[in-house]
Amino acid sequence: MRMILNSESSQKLGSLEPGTRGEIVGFGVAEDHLDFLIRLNEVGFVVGEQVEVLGRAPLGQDPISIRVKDAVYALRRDDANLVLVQVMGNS
Amino acid sequence: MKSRIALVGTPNAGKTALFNALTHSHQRVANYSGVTVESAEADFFLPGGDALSLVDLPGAYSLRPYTEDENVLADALKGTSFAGMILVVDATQPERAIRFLLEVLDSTDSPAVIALNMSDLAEKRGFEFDMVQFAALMGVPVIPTAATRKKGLPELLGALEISLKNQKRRRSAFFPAPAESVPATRVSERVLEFYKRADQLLKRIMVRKGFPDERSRKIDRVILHPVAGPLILILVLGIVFQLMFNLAQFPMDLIDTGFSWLQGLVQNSGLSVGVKSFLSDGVIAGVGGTLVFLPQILILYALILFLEDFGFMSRAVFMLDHLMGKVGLHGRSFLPLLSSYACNVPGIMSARTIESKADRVITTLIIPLTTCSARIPVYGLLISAFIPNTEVFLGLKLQGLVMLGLYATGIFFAFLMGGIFKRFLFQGRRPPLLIELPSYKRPSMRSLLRGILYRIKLFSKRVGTVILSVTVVIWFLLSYPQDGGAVASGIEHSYAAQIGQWIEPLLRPIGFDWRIAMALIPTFAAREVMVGTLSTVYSIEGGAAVSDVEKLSMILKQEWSVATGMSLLVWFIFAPMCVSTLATARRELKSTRYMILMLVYLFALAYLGSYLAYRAFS
Repeated sequence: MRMILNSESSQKLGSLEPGTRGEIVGFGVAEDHLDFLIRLNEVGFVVGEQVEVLGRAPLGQDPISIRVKDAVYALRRDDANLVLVQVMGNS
Repeated sequence: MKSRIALVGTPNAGKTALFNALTHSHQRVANYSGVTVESAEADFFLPGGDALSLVDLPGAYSLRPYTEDENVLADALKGTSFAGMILVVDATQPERAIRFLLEVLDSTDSPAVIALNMSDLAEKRGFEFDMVQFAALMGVPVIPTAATRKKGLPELLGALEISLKNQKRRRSAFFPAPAESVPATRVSERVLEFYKRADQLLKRIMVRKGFPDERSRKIDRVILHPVAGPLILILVLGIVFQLMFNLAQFPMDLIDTGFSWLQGLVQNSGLSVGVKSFLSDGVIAGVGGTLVFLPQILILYALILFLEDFGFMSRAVFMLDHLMGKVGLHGRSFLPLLSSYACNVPGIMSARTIESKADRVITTLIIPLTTCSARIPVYGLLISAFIPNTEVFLGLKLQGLVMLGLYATGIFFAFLMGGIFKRFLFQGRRPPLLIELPSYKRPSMRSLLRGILYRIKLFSKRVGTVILSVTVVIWFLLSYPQDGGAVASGIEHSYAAQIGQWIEPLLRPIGFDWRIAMALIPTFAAREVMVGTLSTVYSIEGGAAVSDVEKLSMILKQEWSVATGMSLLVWFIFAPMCVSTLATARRELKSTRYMILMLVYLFALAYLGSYLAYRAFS
């Protein structure tokens, strides 16, 4: 897939600590997950968009809650790792 | 026929609230993605007096279907069955709103009006829109509304009336692309291209962006707190079940007393013996035995609706996903499973919101193992007959503990079977989770009430049709053939007994005699009928009316061995004794094979479990 835009300083969304903000810079390879990737696009996870990791679920530290646009979504960390983020700082 | 108007919107935009405000039907509103499991339809009137019919379609993020719910919407809009549309979007989520609107407007051509809902909340949070520009860019009227406060509704209906007459739109068919014809990467590119366009429009429409929802964030700090969060979840579930049993007790006693009084009235009337028996043992016993746990169903539903409306349910999914993943389930399975404790049928229907086929199938397959309220009367009867109510520990009574144990066994096997199905039926990667954590909202008591009334309507319909006819048929099978005027005391010659005796050899290894076999037959229509049937069997056999459960449990204690009682208890945990559940599973999964799998594995568990219980207590 063409969408990999992995600049050196980008990190996987699932690996970020709660409170971290960043800008989406690309997406990981998701051959068996294309449908899901499109759904992520549809709810607002697109390149250039700002995201913030709000928190982790109490049991097992997974899934995580992420603010994007005006909404908050829960994603498993594995799945969130599809999203590559350029960290912009902590709140 | 009245023209139909489609109510289309994004999840949590207040679509169902708008439906409730515009019409006079009983449909619930909920703050949970995709809770409109069946589209409701009701009449409403335009200012000019024309009557139209409004159809509440499931909410969707996009027209490219990702969940079964969105499939329903996409299919509905493809046809030409709607004369017009009301598009409902959340003013506090303008980006999503614009995208959704563009997508729907691009791919349809029927007249439309836009309800920019929750505009009161948006205003409070500082959002400002150029409404003239908004309508001009969308090409259809845009009306700010606040459905829960009934604001903007006359304007919306007025705009709809004019649009239905004058509006001409063309389908530009830009989006969505059918998934089969375009490679997925291209779809993704189109999505991005499309969103660029939406964002450009938004810049021209939104004058000022509002503040983020700080209040929800604060509530989340407590509800999703690492320590407090799980404790609150356990507490909430505990309170839900406590209320379900305790609050329901009084109305249940009342219903019970009412029906006993009716039976007494019939018994003392001047009617002939046959008619008396029909009314008292057939109709009143059957209908009363079912109606009696309506309070429990309603209380559980009211609480679930309240929690959904508030926004708690998606948080519960968020917290439980990891845990449920350990047994092969998806976080989203939580709500269907919880609803199933009232009744399995709506539980299975709400499994539609689960995106992946595998998770939907597994959830549906294990739902019958949750203790639906139809089992409670049977459990109650058998426990009071065969479990001594001794104190075990610190005031905990054995009967209560056994009841709890039955619930626990059910959910334990649900999880166990979920894990097994996952392992053997659906291998491979766990399907992704993507669930919105919507803003918290104050639950509207009005829509709660409507939700409850809707349930009462559904339930009464079931009692009036299925349950009533089954009871009458059972009464007939039990009372005939007759020789002479009086009801024959020889119930062993009845048709039902003949059927029971015919099945008995199959059920003897698990300790059931022909009477139980006979009483089990009608439970396929409705489990709860078991209690009524047993009381009919023993009233007719004993020649005296067995009206209340206490008397019946005394009789069972004398007639059955403890081993048989235990075996029957176990049977009711597992056995797939509800035709509606099986039929719903087949319809929802569009598969007879899964239904047969459900039937077979549940029967196998029931037979094996009952056999072991019977052996252990013999």
